[in-house]
Amino acid sequence: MYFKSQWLLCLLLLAVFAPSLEADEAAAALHVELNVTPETCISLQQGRTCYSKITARWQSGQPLDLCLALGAQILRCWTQQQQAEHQFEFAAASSGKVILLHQEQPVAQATIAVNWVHKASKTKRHWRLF
Amino acid sequence: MQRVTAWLAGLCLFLCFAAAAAEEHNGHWSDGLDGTIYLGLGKGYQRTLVPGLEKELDQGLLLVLTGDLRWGNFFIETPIHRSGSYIYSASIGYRFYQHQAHSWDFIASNYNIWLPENKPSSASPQLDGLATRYGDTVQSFRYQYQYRQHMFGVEAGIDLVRHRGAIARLSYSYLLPWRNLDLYLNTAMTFESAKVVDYYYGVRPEEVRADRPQYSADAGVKNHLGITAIYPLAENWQVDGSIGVNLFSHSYLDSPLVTRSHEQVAIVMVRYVF
Repeated sequence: MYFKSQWLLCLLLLAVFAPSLEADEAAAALHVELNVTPETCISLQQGRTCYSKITARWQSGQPLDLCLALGAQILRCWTQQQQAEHQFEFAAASSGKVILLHQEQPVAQATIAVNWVHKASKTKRHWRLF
Repeated sequence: MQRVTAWLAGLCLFLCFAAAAAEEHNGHWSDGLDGTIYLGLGKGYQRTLVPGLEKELDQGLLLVLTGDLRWGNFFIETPIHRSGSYIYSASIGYRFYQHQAHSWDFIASNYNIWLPENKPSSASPQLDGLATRYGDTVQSFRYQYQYRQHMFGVEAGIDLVRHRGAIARLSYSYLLPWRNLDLYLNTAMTFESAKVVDYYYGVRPEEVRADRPQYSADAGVKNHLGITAIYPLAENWQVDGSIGVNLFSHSYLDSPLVTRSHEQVAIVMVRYVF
């Protein structure tokens, strides 16, 4: 009974971490490197949509067919390229993941963090007189 | 400096009040305390109605502590979004009614400032020999209504210490967000009774000179038009700028102390947000 539980736990952990391990392994095999600038978007208030022009640059050790995605949205695809860059508009209230896909599998990823100047108010924030 | 001291004293008074009230409710004093404190460094430009009064704002860099704190129904606030007034003014108040977008407050705030009390009235030849005019503290009732990006305000009160005059103000502000930038379009109309205008712009018998006849002012109206922009720089850092113009009625403009037709104000400040 004990061994059975242990196996189930192992399978569960494998199911959770398998996709990221797969991405890491794929990226390591293909030697794809992805960078985004800026890495942080600053908004005035926590919870507000943050806007930023992001440049994503990637390079690999060999020509590849790759697609750049922001979350689930495909931004641009390349065929048999070894390096490229793409500028896009980021607009989100929380952090977003930029992913490079090869044959629909993630091979590299980067995070655009969203920070803010003012935390969301504990009480309803009233405006000041002008 | 005196304004900074007054603001700090107000802050201490506010926190003491909060602590005492919290003790009564068996809670920690900081429970329910909300708001923001800003430490700003910047530069200001001002062209006042009376030449010479702008020297305080124009000289060197400005290091300013401002804030917006609330504890229960008590609050203390500085005009972070406003232009056309002086950056050191602050309001301390009690919100006794709040229902959805409507609110009623009792506030004590500063509407007028002359030269700082510790400076002689000799910032310009035009001010030479004038008695000190002190900044006022007006106790007033304020009504505010917020509808989406619009903000309406009406307030009226009286100063009990300096000029003992009445002041009423009608204001409107529109928030125009564009990407990460907040733009506030502001306008206000302020009515000041004869006691107020005469206290600051009147010329008393002992102040009369060959080029400065005696002047007794009537009640007057001043209008403000301004724009304030706020932009995030980094986590806890922002830059903001304001430009504004103040227009005055004849009771101000007819004063022998006044040689200009209007006031201009511009302030740019980088602030750390606590």
